[in-house]
Amino acid sequence: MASAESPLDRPPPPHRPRPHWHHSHRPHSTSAISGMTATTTTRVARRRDDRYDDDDDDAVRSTADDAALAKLSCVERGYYDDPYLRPMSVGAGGLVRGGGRGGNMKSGGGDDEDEDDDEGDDGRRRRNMPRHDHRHHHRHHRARCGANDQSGTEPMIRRGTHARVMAMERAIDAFLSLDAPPPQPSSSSSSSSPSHSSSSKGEEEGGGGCGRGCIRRRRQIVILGAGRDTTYLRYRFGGKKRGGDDDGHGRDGVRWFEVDHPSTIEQKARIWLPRCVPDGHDYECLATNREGDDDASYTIVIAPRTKQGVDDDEAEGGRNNGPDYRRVKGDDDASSLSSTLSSSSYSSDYHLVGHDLRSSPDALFRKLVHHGYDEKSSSSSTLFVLECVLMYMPETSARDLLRRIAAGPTSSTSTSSSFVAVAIYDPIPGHDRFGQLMIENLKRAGVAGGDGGGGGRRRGGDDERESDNARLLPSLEVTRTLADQLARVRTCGFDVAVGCTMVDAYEHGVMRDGDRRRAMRCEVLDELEEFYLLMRHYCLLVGVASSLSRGVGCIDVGDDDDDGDRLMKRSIR
Amino acid sequence: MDAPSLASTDSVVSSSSSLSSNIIHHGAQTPAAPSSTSTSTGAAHPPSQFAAASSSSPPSSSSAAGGNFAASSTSTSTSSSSSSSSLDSQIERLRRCEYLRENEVKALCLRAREILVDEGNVQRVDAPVTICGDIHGQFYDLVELFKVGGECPDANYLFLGDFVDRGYYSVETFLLLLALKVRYPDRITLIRGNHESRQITQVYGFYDECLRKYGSVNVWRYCTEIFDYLSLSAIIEDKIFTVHGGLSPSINTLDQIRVIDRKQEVPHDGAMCDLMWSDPEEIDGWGLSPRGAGYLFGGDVVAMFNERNDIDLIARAHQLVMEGHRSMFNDALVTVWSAPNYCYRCGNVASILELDENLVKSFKIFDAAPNEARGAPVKNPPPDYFL
Repeated sequence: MASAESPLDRPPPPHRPRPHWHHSHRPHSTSAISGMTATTTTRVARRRDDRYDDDDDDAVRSTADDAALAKLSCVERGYYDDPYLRPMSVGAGGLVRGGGRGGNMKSGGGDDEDEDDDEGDDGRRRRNMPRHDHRHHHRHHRARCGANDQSGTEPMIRRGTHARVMAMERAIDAFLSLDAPPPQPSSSSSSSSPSHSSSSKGEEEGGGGCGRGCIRRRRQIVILGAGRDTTYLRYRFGGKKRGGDDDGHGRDGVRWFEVDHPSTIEQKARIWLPRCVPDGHDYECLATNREGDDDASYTIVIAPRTKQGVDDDEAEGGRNNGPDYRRVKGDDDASSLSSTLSSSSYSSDYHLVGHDLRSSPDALFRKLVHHGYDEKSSSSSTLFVLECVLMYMPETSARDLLRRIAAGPTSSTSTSSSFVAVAIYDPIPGHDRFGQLMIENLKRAGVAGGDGGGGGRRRGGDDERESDNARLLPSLEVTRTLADQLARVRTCGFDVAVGCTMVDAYEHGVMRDGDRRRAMRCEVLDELEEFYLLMRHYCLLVGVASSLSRGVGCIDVGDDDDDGDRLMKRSIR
Repeated sequence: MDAPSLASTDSVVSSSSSLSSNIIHHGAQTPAAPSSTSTSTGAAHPPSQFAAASSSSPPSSSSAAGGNFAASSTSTSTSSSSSSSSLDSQIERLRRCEYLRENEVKALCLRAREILVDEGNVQRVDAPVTICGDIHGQFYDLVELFKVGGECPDANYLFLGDFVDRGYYSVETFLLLLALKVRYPDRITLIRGNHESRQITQVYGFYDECLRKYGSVNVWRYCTEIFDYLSLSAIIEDKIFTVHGGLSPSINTLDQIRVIDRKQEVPHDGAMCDLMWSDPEEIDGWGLSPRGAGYLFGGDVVAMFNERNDIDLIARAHQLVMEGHRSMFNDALVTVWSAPNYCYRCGNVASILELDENLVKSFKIFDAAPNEARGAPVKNPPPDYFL
């Protein structure tokens, strides 16, 4: 029957982060971007590969907004703490409130997140809800069934997003704790709890800082498809855990790289990040793209505000900024700067690299190396984080990328013990109806490649697309199960691949009990069956490629009962 | 916002008077017209005896279902018979997925309240009857349900709650069911689900939908006020107990349900909450519900409850079942799920449970309405995933 519209015509749903890129035209927010030179960067933003559809690009890039808004919704509901998400989400599609809030964010969860349970909840609700009168009437209810927040995020999405954030955080924690002096010989590796037992890890984390007398590896974390990710800020400045205590991970000698589409990187460096700078810090953003490379790349310096002209932060920054830290003062001449930043001269621990992940992985690594990425030294360890990244890529590109990542350690000398790990969070649509609908719906939203049928966003296919079809078949449609994901990681050259569905991650150990309890306190989750259904269609994977393991063969590849933490530990032994 | 606040119990009283005056006014304006049930509904279906009966004495006959709503018929008969044609036309519009004007909703809710207020917490229902589970605003799938099970006055329906939230058409869905309830009170029974709640509807979409479609929350207020009047459970021929969620550790007998003061927002704990929130589970005794409200209850609990109350079966909804229905505990309990492709994402089939006059069960499975039957689906945002 026809869509007979009723007396009141329906306006479009007001606050959905769909799917067009929401440009924030708010100019570089004044104070923060001092050392940045815009000239080298503005022209690159529009560059893109002709093979790819503009709309698709926009839609895929806007998933950074979706992710940030879902995470923000979690944070504002009290699932976990991240004081940087709100300023980071400025201008994200659908974010009405909070986005325009200027000024810097205080670190440590200060002014905006109420710590007190009831007051906090009420405060949040007051901000989140359209104003109406009955609200006070229900204030006495214990469970927090407050209004939907303005991003329209469902409780189920919050619950799952929280699990995703916590899972990736555990992967990063595990990676960072690898440098800890080998703990009491047997304790962590021999705790032979059956599947997904990472509980032992939970106790020891935080204590394993590499403060005393351990061999320092060069540690690097590369977040691919970073979008509005705030992980660096949380690890560097705290606010990761409730109470805002920095646990020491991530400060010392870890280099962070974030990779995303150049236009996203551009906005992150110029608009989003400056708003996240903790009080008492200066923000500098240095355009550092390679000679002849138009893609935006930045070295980010967020340093404690010091007296004018002090070039050396050692007094204060020895701990905050890592041992290699040499502050680059705001230099107006970017070209001279980019020449000083060769691969051997390392100037900051935080780099944003503009790169279309569907294009050559070798180019990506050239850019990374230009920013100080190290894959040659004998004892470097690198974690690549791919959170909902591969799903948007053509399968061949995804495999090329994984293969190149895994190839890193093999190129080093035989005596090296460097290794590369990947932590992957990706959907696994499988072959059931839910998965089929997932693929269709994501295609309709224009983010999963394919024909985009039904969405009406693209009409009339160009013929070249047809011939490219097989090659560009979206990863989501090819790598459909956990087994597929594991096989892909292994065949791409990783020595170890372990993974589990997010249901298992949620229920059996990757997710800490405390986090799970906290989530349950945040709100009632009515749609339990659907939640599990959805979570069964996502997975968490850890793969490790180690130069040491090759030839030595010390890795127990077949042990699927292990979880990622222990496998990563074991792989470097 | 100029609408009276209906949220607190105090203001319900005051608001009801304003609603009352409105409906009288509305009724007086409507030219009295003979009821014309057969022309407006069920044209394709031969009217059953029940349909004929209700059309001859619309719509408040207390004869068919027995039980305890005799009182309402006298108080509403004048206005309802005079406005039944306008009600029929409203039902026609709702069946086309048009929503009513705000003042029409207000009037409809008042009339519904007069009927619902006299229903018991354990509403008596006669067989044959068709039991339906969650609908969740999936209007076109509700239309599909009626195609599968027969149009409303022809078939006798019992809906187990969760009419609103999640889907795109909660307003149309609930108002259609409510209008049918007012029009054929003996041929359709609506009981309350955990989503028929002010709190939950603010989280899961009905509130937003009302605000979006009407520009104010008045309709949401009228509807949520009516939610408070919906019955908590039903008993079919004294043998089949139906409820949205399940059992409660504080409920042993049906009489304990009957004495609950249900005219309130769904509480966060206690018997009334449990009836709408609990789930059966393969455990012994009771367990904590991972939903955060209600309980898990095991087969032994069900067996004891059924024996104590001399019933054969508990029919409930509340849980998505990919196959549309699921029996548990040696057929002592059945879950009926009636929202196909739930949330336009789950890919499940739906079912309705038909009971004949001898209470013999038969399920009818149905799939989501075909796209052609839906309005303009493209306008609706795709469901959410983790991106």
